[in-house]
Amino acid sequence: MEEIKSASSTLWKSYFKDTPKSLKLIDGYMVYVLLTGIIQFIYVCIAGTFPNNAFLAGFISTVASFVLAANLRIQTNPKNASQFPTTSPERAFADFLACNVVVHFAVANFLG
Amino acid sequence: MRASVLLSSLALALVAQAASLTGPRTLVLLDTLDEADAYMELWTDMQERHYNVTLHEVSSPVALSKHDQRLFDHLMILSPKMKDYPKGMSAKSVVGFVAAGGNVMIAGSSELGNTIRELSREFDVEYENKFTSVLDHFNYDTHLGKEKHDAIVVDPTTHMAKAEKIIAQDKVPGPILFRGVAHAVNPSNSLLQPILWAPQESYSWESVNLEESANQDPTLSGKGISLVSVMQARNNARIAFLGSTEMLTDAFFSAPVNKHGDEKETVSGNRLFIEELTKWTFQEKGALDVVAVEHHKVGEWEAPAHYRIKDNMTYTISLAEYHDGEWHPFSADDVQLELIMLDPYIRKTLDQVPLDDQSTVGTFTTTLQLPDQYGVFKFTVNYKRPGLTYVESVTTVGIHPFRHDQYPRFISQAKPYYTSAASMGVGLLVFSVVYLWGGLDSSVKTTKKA
Repeated sequence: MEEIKSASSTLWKSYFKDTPKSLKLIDGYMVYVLLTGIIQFIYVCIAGTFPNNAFLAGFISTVASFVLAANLRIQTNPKNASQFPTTSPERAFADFLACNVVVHFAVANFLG
Repeated sequence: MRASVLLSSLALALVAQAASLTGPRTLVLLDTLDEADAYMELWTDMQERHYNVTLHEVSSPVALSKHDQRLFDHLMILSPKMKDYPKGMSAKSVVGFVAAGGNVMIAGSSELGNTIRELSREFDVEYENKFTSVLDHFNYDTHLGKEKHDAIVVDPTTHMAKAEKIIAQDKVPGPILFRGVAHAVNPSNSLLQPILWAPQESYSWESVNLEESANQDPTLSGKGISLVSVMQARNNARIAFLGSTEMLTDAFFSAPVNKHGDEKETVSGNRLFIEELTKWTFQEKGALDVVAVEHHKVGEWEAPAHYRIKDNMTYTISLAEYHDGEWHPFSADDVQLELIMLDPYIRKTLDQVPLDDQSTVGTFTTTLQLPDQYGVFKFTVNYKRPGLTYVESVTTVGIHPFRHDQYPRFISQAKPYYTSAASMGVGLLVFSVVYLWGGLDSSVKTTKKA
């Protein structure tokens, strides 16, 4: 128990110390998206699937946002730079925005 | 040789229309033409009802149809002894005659041959063995059944089916005399119905060696013995089975009835019973017709090209019943409408519009709300009642869902989903702004370049 405590506190500290701010921002965004998705899932369990299209649109928008943010985090992480020799962080962010625009068009279309 | 000379054709020529709905041409099969004299009153009755009766003996050839057209509308087989069909006829041709809408009346007797027995089996009717009779030592006529107790007296108030559309109780005033063979009907055949059955004390037994003692139980007794049965095939052709040719004869038609143990002498009801039976069998009554089917939305008067789910609509069907040579308004309180798409979604009893002097048809109507289900539906009136021709009226209609502008755009129950989708958009904007201009350390970019 004691070891787990010390291990997690070490992890926590090193996260705050070594992670670039931009990645922390992405992590915060991802937590926010994840919570939104969980709340929706609890709501659909209580209220039922009607209207199903609206539920799917809302839920898919969170899932897609989460996945795209995860991609952005992987591609902009300095430690992964060797794996993405042709993808600059600017390029990664542009991809992220373009994909998000497509997702939100689809979601808006499916929502009502 | 065909012998259609019996009835005066002059009288028939004056008649514009036959009383039977399907036609006047009747073929009667007799064992020999001499037997025709025994049925004079029956011929007279049928002539009065505008039948064109052709008498025919089994030994000479006859055809029921030619070029796939029926040559006769009705067939009476009063030839129980018949061993072979007349040349040109067969069991198959009789069944084909029924399938083509012809009506048949079959009468047996104690000397019933296998030909008729096998024909009846085609219709789930089983006649008893040859040389058996229906015997009754309690309900016999003391005059006609003096020797063998085989002329039995049947009380129509207790032993006749209560099927008003076939034979109404009040139409048969006296007891019915019967001398002949028993038959049994398959109880699981819903098209077949016994009309007259034997009294409780009756049994079916060989009527030749009555002196010998019985060594086994009779196979048929009491109510299990059908004396007269009727069947209406799915194409509305009607078939009657009688166990006795004699109940059609003049001797039985107007015989005084002296039931054993009864002091009072009554008159036989055979004539009126047979009249009602032939009227029903030969389509003189109990025939229904769908005159019109109308449906429209409430407030409109024309049938729309399609309905929308949850529409309020009115359905109306007009039915006419044929009897006594004319179409009359039909009245009933059990006509039902079904809305079917594989399963019935709605089943509702139709209300009859009150009849007045002007009515020529019975009108049944109802107003209902269509189900919350779109698809191709059938408005079906499936009305099958004993003694009436089957009514099956099917109207196919399409029921459409709401169009996209016919229901609310946003549903309150879905508000969390709308909020979520919107917050994802807003979240993306905030995230992008902070990411690009939030003064984050630019080490990411520089590290990348390094």
